[in-house]
Amino acid sequence: MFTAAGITLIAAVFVASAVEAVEAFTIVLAMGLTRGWKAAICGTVAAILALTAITAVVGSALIHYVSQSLLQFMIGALLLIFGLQWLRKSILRSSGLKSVHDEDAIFREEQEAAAKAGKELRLGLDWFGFVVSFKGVLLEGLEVVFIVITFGLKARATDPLAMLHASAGAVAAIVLVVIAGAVARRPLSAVPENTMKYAVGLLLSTFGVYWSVEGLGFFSPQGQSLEWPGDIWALVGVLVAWIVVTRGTVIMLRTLVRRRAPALGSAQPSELPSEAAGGH
Amino acid sequence: MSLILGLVQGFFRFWYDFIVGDCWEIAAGVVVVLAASILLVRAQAVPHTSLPYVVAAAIMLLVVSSTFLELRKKPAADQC
Repeated sequence: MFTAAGITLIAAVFVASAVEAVEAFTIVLAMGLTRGWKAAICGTVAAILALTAITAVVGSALIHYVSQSLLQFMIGALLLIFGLQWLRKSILRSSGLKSVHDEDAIFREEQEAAAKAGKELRLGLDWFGFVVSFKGVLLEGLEVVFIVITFGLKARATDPLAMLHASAGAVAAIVLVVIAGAVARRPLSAVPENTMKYAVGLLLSTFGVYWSVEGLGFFSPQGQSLEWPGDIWALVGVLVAWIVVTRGTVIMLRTLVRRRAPALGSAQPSELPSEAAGGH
Repeated sequence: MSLILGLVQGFFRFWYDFIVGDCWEIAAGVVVVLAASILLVRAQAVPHTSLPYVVAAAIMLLVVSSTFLELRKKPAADQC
């Protein structure tokens, strides 16, 4: 049966994977509608096969040959790079310094680029549609694989079925996005992606800080993972700190943007996105 | 030869897009903060009980400063 830790793990991986799945779906849908479904589906399948191979090779190499503290440091650093970029974008969107992520607009841009691209056949496939679908699914899929491996590996200490739970969360998110997209037959712009990205950014940054600090112990004379005061409860403290810091930054930036707006003719306060970074 | 060069370029471009993304300042900032943290750990300059707070504060400062730097750039620029 599912434990509380298992359900939390599934929920965390589900939300993070859903964001990536929406982005990949938008790209494949645009290629399918403009360049043909054969190339789009072949590109998607090829990317899934490549992802499987990369996961099998890199995943087992990491687990068997890299020390736990070094793995924590590497994973923490990568989570920080991903998470901080998402947080930063959410702050900028919420304060009016950056336009809100719009799947409809991205879909139109992809369609226009696909319509302008020349027709080149390779292996009986429209090459542009194949390559764009392949790259889109591979990039977004790698992030999903990365999230599943990192969250699953770390939670294994307390939950023996952690990898299974993490994989289930990711698969459920992808299946749900594909079904919803197939039914709607349009980009999933109704999904509050900016809010989800803020939530995922908070999550990744929190775990990133936590693990990278623990992993710093690899470089100490003892070579052992460092311990946070309060152990696992420190995660809650780091999360609260991130929420306070990001919300405070949004409030300060909004004030500055409002002051600048009349002079620069940029985003007016009334145009500020309300959903990103939990804005109201 | 140009095919191999193209494949190599594509390989590195793919991993650059995946890891660094569209904001190299954040990636570079994380590398600098963590490299400085490694030096602190190796030199044992900060007690291990205080180190988590120092690293966390530096990373949060990195995000806040990078968003405020955006104010200096062109308004509504949809880039890093």
